[in-house]
Amino acid sequence: MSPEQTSLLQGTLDLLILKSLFAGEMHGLGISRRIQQVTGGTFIVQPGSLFPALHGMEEEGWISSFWGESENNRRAKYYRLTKAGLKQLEVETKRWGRISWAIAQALEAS
Amino acid sequence: MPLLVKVRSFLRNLFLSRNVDVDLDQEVHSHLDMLIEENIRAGMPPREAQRVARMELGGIEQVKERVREERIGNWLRSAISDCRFGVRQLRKNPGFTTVAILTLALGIGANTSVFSLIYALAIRPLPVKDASSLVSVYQSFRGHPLSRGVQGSPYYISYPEYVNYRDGSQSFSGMVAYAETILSLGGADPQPLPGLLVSCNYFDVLGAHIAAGRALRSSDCLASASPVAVLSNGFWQREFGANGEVIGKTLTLDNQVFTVIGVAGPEFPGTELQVPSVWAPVATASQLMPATFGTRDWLALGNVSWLHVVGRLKPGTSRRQAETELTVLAHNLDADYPGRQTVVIVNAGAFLNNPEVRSIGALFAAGVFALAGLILLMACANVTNLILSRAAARQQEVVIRLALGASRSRLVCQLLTESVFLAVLGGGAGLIVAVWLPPVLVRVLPEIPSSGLPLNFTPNFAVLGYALLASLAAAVISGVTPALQATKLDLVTTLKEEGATAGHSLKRARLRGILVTAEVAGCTLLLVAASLLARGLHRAEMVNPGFITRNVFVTSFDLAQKGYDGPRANTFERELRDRLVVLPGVAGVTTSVVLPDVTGYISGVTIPGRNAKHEYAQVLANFVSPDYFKTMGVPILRGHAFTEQEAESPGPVPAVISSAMARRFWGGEDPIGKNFSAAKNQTYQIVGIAPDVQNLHLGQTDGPFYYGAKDAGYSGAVDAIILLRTASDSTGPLAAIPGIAHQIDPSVMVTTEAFEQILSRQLSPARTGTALVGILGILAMVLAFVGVTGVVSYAASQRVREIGIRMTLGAQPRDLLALLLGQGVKLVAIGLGIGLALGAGAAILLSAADLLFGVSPLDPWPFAGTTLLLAAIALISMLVPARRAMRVDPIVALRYE
Repeated sequence: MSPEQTSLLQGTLDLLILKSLFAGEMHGLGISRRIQQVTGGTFIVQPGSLFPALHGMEEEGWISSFWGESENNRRAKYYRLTKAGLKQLEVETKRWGRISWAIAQALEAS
Repeated sequence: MPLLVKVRSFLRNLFLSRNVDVDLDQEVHSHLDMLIEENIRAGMPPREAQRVARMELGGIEQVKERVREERIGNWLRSAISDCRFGVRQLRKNPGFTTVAILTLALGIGANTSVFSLIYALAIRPLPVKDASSLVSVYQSFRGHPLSRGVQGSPYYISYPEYVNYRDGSQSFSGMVAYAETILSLGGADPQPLPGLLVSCNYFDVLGAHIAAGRALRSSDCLASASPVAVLSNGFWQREFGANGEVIGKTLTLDNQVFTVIGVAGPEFPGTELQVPSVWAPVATASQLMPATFGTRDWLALGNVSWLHVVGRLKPGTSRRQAETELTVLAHNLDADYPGRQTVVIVNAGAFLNNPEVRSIGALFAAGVFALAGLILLMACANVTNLILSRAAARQQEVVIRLALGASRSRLVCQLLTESVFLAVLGGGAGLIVAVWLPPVLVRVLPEIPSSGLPLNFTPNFAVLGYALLASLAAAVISGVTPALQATKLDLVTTLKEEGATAGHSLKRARLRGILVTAEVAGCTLLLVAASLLARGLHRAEMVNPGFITRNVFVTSFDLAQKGYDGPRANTFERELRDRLVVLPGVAGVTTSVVLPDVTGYISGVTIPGRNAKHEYAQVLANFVSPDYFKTMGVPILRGHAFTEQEAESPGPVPAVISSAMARRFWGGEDPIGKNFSAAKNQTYQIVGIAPDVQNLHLGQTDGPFYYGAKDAGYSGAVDAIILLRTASDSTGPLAAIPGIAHQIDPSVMVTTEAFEQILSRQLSPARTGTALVGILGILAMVLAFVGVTGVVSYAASQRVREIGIRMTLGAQPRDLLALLLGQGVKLVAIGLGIGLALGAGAAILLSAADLLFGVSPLDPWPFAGTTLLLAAIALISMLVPARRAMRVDPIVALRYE
């Protein structure tokens, strides 16, 4: 991952995770693969970034976790969106919209 | 809701960290397993699948560590581990730790003691029920210059003013007034007794517990009431053996018979530092107080300050509201004194609340705080020094941790944790000092009763809080600089080779140099001050004041309170002198208005026939009986001492003047037979000249001085003393004095004390103060000693290799010594120079405050002595580490590191 991607990712990783979980409960690897898939491979979330983000968001109360069975009958830790997380997703989406609009404006300006 | 989740996570992270870790471990492992599975399904062989999966994960432990860092409460976990690490570090260096803690304990302890003392005296509420609602009321006046009588403090209040406030105000649920006085307890030999004349609501308003009998009630304050008294618990136990049948018995106080009606509870010491033995109604002032202001009816005096007033505020009333209300009430009485404008001052109730005392107290407190602060700063400087020298040894540790990615703030926190630990431990030990020291310190204060102080020095939240604050301040002052310095490293340079050559350590050395210089300067200042004070004291004790003090005894009476006027007092004294002087073993008896070097008298002198404007001068004086010169061994240089006949004959009052007065007014002329006028236009005729002696201050020869014949020349003479000198060291004649005095008037209270003892007691605050400054000075010297040793041994340890090279190249031990000592000597010399200059400044201040008893502030001995002592100490403290450095084997030195 190039440095530009990293810094972008840090601002938006929470948003991407929230968005992924909006589709339904998922384990860590699932979240990682989904982000990779929906961004067309632009973002590859490494476990070193993913887990701290997941645990941080859980402590914020945006997501909750439980142990469950994976598709291959493995024990895996699943995450799901909470009410607060849903609200946070809206907030982050709006914020991101504003930012991307602003950046687009700035780039078109000259 | 999210807050609840956060709190839950926080608590779980803190207390169930093992479960959380296990859970995380399982999660990461399950993630790894799923990655492997994914790779196998994609067609990789198992080994390859595992390898790729591990690469993607990027290290199980690293992932886990990154999660831990993200967690809520991580700072607390790291703080706890910092603490553990700090404790380990401190335990590993018991010597360093002990010195640092002791140093800080003394600094923090001294500061907390001063605070505790000030708190007990001026902040802690009075030891009575519901003391927080008590306030004290004082007055000052604006407007034209007033002639107002003062007994005690000008801020006190007259009885009519008190009644005006008490009856007119709405802010108070009760208001009491009282005056302190010394009574004489009648009996075979009357004894002085501290008493309080109080308004009759005193016990009710203060909520005092009465152990036996009853408290005063308002009928006791009627003019027609028979005199009654309430005893203090201590007096009751001392004088009556705690006998319950004391109620109804009588006491004779100042010739007046009082009926005992009650005994106060043991926990009620009253409202003044001097715990009274008896409380009597203020109405008895007309019998117990002297006729100082022309009448003995003190309650009728409207323009005399003599009563303390203490009020209890109604709930919800502020001091300001009460002040405003009383100021309005005061205008009622201001109408009687045109141009006067009363300003009422309402202070919170505490022992020291008089505005006059408070302003002096604030100055005193500032001075003592400065001293204690200096000690704390020195202690901090030393701990900083200790940490700095240890930091050198820990440099590798710091560098490695920085290189491994620890953030600088994290490391600073770590190092500061250790300082905080040291300071808190030092503060804890300092509290022991703070419990022990204030009762000692209080004795240094002027005008504080010597025993039975009702002061409470138990540390409370305020004192503990202050100690904590001082500890934290000490931690920050002593810890921040070394922590910042230790972590401000150029990693590459330091890691590559010896850190000793890096620029930061030069900076560190400079800082340590400044600290040591400051320490030496502070210690020099204290030692100079202490030795000057000690020399002054020694001089005050050893000096020959020009008159005899040995075997001289001072007898005083309470004639004023017994209603004597001037002529009656003169008769009493003459009769007593005549009876005493014939006793065997008595060398002389005289009356004197002034007790030399204890009290003083200043008189304005003019010479008849000369321009009064130019020739007026304030001179010292004493009024004595003719035997004074013989009794006190003051020779008459020219002329003669006045005789009884001269003293009694009408016309000019005979006087003996001092040589200085002769020079001042008559120059080359012979003053014998000349007249001067002084003391309310009394004319004096000079009959003799006495040498200049030290009547005002021990160790300081008086300026112009005259002795007037007492009986004729001093009309207000009701408070004179009798000086009696015995022929040998025998004290035999003394026992007879009270009996003989009582033959003349059985009611008079007689106290006799050795003159030398009075003089010595007068020096006791100075003695305690000197001892304190001396102890602080020695403490500072120990601190400076440790500091200098630290600097030199550190410098030496940094130059082991250089020393080795120089030795191999043939350097002589003397050259090496010069090299090693050079820096230390420079620091000590600068510190000494600054300290001596500061010491000279302090000496001039001490001299201006009359604390040196005539020793010159620039007396060379204290300065030379301090310089020599410190130079010797510094040399020893530098030689030891320097010699150790030089004993090193050149080969070993060259291989070093």
